[in-house]
Amino acid sequence: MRVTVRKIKNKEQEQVVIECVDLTQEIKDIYSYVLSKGVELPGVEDGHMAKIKLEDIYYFEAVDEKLFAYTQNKVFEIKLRLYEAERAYAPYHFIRCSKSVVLNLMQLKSISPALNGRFLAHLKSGEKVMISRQYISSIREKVFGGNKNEI
Amino acid sequence: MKYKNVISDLAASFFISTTLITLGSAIIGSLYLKEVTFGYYAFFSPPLIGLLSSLLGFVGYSKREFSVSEAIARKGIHLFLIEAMIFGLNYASGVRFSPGFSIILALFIVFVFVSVNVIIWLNDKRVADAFNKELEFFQKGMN
Repeated sequence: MRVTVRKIKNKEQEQVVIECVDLTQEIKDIYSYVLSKGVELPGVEDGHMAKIKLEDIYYFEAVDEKLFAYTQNKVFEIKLRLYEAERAYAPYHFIRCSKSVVLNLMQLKSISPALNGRFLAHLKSGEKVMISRQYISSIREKVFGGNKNEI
Repeated sequence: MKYKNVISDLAASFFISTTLITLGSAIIGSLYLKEVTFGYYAFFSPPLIGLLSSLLGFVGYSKREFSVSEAIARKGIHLFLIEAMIFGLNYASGVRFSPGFSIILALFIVFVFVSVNVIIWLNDKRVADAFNKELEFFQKGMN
């Protein structure tokens, strides 16, 4: 695939154009990657509004009807419901891993078995998040991407 | 947790338990109860105990997500119920064990229980290792 970079002067006119014959999975992945690089969402930290880069978010967690976004060392309150975040950011590799957590697969370091068929997600930040049994198959499906040679 | 997952867990637990109970009974019986002989009905004993032990595993499942400490506590309750069930069944059928043999039997039950959980954990580890390998490719492909 040829890649061309053309410099322009106006920041607001920056764009990525994908020219393809078919919308293959590879193209869709490039599309979602490009989208994720530009996405910011508003959050509240210590009563102050802030913009958070989506790629910096490790996971969303719903606690007492509120949604929080966790980055490397900050926590932001987000004005969304968990299912809304799950739907909105699914193309950017965010996926549900338990009843209360939506995980950024790009910030996942590894998983390890826990008790009762559950798994522990080890994030690149060093944090650990539980993966419920019922969501492990959809996470595997997403990562294996239809690879028939999976486990 | 989905019903399908519970059933597959119980099935795995049943088959592993039955195999280990059969092996353990043969070893303990040949060492400590050499004079005792059984008829063919004795072959039903390991799968029956395996089934009952696995069914008692329902104590470890809930629609609510357990924390790690809660899950460990449930495992402890499960083990206690298995011990009580096996000693209770033997007592109810008139079998009386010496204190020494009771300790060996209780330890054997712990061994089977731990082994079943370790085997299931090892299988999950295999799944996790394969996932981690693929995760690396997945993330590289996206970067």
